[in-house]
Amino acid sequence: MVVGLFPNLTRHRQLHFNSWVVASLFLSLLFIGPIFAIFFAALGDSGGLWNHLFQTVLPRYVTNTILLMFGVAIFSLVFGVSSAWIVFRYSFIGRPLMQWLLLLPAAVPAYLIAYTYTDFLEYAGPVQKMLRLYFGWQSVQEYWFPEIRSMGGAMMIMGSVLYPYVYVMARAAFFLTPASLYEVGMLSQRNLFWTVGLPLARPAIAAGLALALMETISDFGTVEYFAIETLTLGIFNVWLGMNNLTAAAQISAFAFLFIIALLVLEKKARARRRFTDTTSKAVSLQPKVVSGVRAFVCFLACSIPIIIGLLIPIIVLLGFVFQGYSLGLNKAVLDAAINSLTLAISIALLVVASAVFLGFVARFQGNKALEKVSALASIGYAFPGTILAIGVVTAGGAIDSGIYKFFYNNFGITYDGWLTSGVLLIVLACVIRFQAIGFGAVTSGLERLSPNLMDANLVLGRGFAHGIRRVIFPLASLSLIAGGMLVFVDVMKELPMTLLLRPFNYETLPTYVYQFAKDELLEEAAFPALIIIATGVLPILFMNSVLNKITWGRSKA
Amino acid sequence: MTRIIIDNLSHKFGSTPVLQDISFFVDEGEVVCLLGPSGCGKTTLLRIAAGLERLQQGKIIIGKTVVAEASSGINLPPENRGVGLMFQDYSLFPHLNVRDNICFGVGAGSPDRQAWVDNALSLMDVKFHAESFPHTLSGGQQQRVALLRALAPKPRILLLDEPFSGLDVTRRASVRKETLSILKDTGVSTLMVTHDPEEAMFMADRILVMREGRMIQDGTPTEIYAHPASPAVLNFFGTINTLSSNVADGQVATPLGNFETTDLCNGDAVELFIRPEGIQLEEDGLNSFKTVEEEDIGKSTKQSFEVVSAQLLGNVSLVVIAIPNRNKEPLMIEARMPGNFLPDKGGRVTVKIDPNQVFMFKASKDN
Repeated sequence: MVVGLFPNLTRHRQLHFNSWVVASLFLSLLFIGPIFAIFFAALGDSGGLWNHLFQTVLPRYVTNTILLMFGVAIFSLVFGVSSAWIVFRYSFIGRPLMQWLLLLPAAVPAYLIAYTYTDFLEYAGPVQKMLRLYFGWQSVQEYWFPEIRSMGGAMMIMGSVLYPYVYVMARAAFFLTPASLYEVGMLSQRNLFWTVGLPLARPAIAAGLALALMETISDFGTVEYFAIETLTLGIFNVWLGMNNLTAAAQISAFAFLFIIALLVLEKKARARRRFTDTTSKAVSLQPKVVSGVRAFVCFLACSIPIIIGLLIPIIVLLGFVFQGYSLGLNKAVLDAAINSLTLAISIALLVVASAVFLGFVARFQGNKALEKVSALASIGYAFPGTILAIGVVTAGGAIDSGIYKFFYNNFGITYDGWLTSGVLLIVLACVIRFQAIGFGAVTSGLERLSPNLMDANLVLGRGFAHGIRRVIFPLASLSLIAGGMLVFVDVMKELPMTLLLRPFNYETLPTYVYQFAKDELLEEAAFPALIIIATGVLPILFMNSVLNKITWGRSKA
Repeated sequence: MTRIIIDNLSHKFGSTPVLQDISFFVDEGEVVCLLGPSGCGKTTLLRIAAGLERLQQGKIIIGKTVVAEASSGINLPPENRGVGLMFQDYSLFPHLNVRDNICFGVGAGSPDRQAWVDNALSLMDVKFHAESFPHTLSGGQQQRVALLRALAPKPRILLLDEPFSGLDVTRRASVRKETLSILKDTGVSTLMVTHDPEEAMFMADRILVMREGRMIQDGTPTEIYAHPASPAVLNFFGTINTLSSNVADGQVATPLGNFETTDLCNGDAVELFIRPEGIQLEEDGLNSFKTVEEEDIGKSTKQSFEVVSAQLLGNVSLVVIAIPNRNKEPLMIEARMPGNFLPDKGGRVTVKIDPNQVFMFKASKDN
C-alpha cells in the first residue's frame, strides 16, 4: 500500500474551539495586529505632508530601494551560489573549513561593515595611505579612488554579509539533489552546474534571495551612514526628523508593495522547493578531488566573500583595539552589553515559547485554517524594523489607552501606560519581527517527526500533555534551541527598532556603536562592535552543526 | 465475549464518503483481518476505532464500554479506550531505547506488566537489544518492538495497520509466523488491516473484505476463497480468467466447455471466472496440428489448445493458451501449473477444469 510517509492529519479535522485554540488565536492576533495598525496610522491626517512627499522624495526613495535590492541580489547570488557550488562539487584543501567559514559573515551586521569599510577605505584610511606611500602621490587630485559611501559600495557591502542566506539554501539544495541526477548529467556529458545543479536548486536559491532582500529593505544603519535614501530611511527621517508618524505610516503602507512582492516570491519558491527537497534516502554526489591550480582557484573563490564580509571588518576593528582605542570596558559599554544580553535572551525565550505554543496547538489541536493563522502570525519577518516600530507604537498606544480607560473608569486607578514607549515595546516589536525564526524552527522540528508519534503516545494511554513533554519536546528540542539562538543573534545586532523605541538613555551594543560611528568615532566603539560580531559567530557555528544533523542525519540513519 | 463492535459506521472526508455502513465485531481471542485494496478506508476505520479520528456516524463498543457514539456524542479520547495500535511505520520513539519504548504505555505502578515486558524481552532475541535505539535495529526487530509496545499495556483489542508492509519479502513469512504465534499466545483479540490476501488468509480467523468503503464479505479464509460473494472478492486473489456467456438450460456454455448452474435463471447474462490454478493442462502427446472445429467447442472439457507462452515463476509455471472464439480474437487464458511445466510455444495442450475453481455471477455493469 502506497501512502505518504506523513499523511496530513489536520486535513479533514474540524476546529473545536477549546481554550488552547482560543489562546492561540488571541496570541496570533497580538502578533498580526500591529502590522494592521500601520494602516490605521496611515489613515490619519499628515497635514499635507504625504502629497508633498509623493511629489518630491518618494520617487527617489523607490528608485533607490529598487536599485539597492537589484545590486544586493547580484552580489549575494554571485557570492552565495558560486561558493555553495564549489564546496559541494570540489574537494580541495580547506574545504571543510570553508563550509562553515562561509556562513560567518552573517554574524556581521551590515551597518558595522559599512562603518568599518568607510574607515578602511577613506582618504585617511590605511588603504589610501598605503597607495599614496607606494606611488608617491601627494594629494587627492593625483589619483582616483572609488567612493565606498555610494550606491555601489552599499550593494557590495550588503551583498557580502547577506549572501549566506543564499549560500545556505543553495548548498542544502545541491547536497539534497540525488547523485543519480548528476550522474545522468555526467553520462550525457553536460555541464553539471548549468544543467542539473542550478535548475534544481533554483527554488531554494530564490527563497534564500528573498530573505536577503527582505534584510536589504529593512536595513537602516548602512543606508543612513551612506546617505542612500531608501524607503526605510525615508520612514525614519519623516518620523524622527519631521516628527510626523502619520506620513511615516503612509510611506510604510506604500512599502507594503515591495514586501508583498518578496513574500510572494518566497512562498512560491518554497512551494516549488518540495520537488527538490527529497526526503528519500538518496545519496548525494561525491565531490571531485582537485589539487594544484584548480584547488587554489576553489580556495580563492571561497575566500573572497569571507575576506570582504568578515576578515577585513574584524581586522579593522581589532586594529583599533590594538592601537589602544576603546580598550577599557567602561560602564557605558558594560550597561549596553547587559541591556543587549537581557533583551536578546528574553526575546529569544519569548519567541521560542510563543512559537512552540502556536505551532503545537495548530498541529495537534487545530486544523488547516488554524495552521494558516499561526503561520500568518509570523509574517513580521518580512517587515522592516522601522515599519514594525510604527505598528507597535500605534497598537501599543491603543492598547494602553484602552487599559487606562478600563482601570480609570472601573477602579479609578491611573495607569501610566507601559506600551507607549519603552523596553516592553522593543520586546514586542522584536518578538513580532523574529517570530518567523521560532515558528520556522518549530514547524521544521515537527515536520521531521511522524505524526503517528503523538498518536502512538495517545493510544498507549498517555495524555496530550505527556506526549508533548516526553515525546514531541525532546525530539524537537534541537530545532528549538537552534531557532532560539538565531533569534538571539538577530536581537544582539538589531538597530532600527531599538533606536526608534528605546527610552531615553537606554543603550544596547548596536545603539552604542551607532552613536560613535555617527560621530565618525568608530574606533572608540571598536570593542563593543567586536562583541556584537563575536556573539553572532558562536551560535551560527552551533546552528550549522544542527542544520547538518537535520539535513543529513535522516539519510544516515 | 465480544471485544469490539462496530455498528453502522459511516465516515466522510469533506464530502467524499470513505466508509459506508460498516458493521462487524471481533470475538475474544479472534484475529480478524480487514482485507481491501489501497484507499478503501481500512486505515481510517482503524484510526476511528482507536479514537484518533473523530467518529461521525455509528457506534463503537469496546469490551462493554461504548467508546464512541455519534447520536449521543460520546467520544472517549484514545488514551482512555484501552486499545493497542501498531502503526504501519511502527512509529517507535526515536529518542527512547527498546525497553523504554515497550514500557511507554506501562505505568510504574503495574509490576505485573513490567514483569511481562521483561519476560517478553527475554523470550525474544530483542533481549540483546533492550538498551539499543530503534534506528539500530533491523526492520523485523523494529516490527517486533512495535508489536510488544502495543501489547504491553494489555489492550482490550489490538489494532494492526499493515503490520508486515515494511518488511522485505524474504523476511515477511517468518515474521508473520512469529507474530501470529505471539498473538495466539497472548490471546489478544486482534483487528488487522492488510491489502495482501495471502497475509489475510494466513493470519485471520475471519476476513472482512472491503471495497470502496463498504464491506463486501465477512467469512473464514476458506469461505472467502471457496465461496467469494462477488467478482470483487475474487479479484483480490490475483489475475483471473473472465468469460461472458448466457444461461441456457441450466448450463453456461463457454469456449472451454459447459458449466452447470443452479442459482442463475435461463437467459441471464453471466460473468464466468476461472482461477488460473483451477485449469490443469496436459501436454498433448501427439502434438498434432488437429484443429478444433467450432462445433466441437463446448462439448467436451478435454480439448487441445495452442500454447502462447510458458514461463517458470519458481514453484509454479504460468502458461497462456489461446482459445478460439467464434469469429472474434482468440481468448487468452492463464493457467498456473505446479512445478516446472513448460510446453513448447506453439505446441498443444489439453485442458481440464476444476469446477470448484469456477465462479459464476450474474453480469452487472459495475463489477
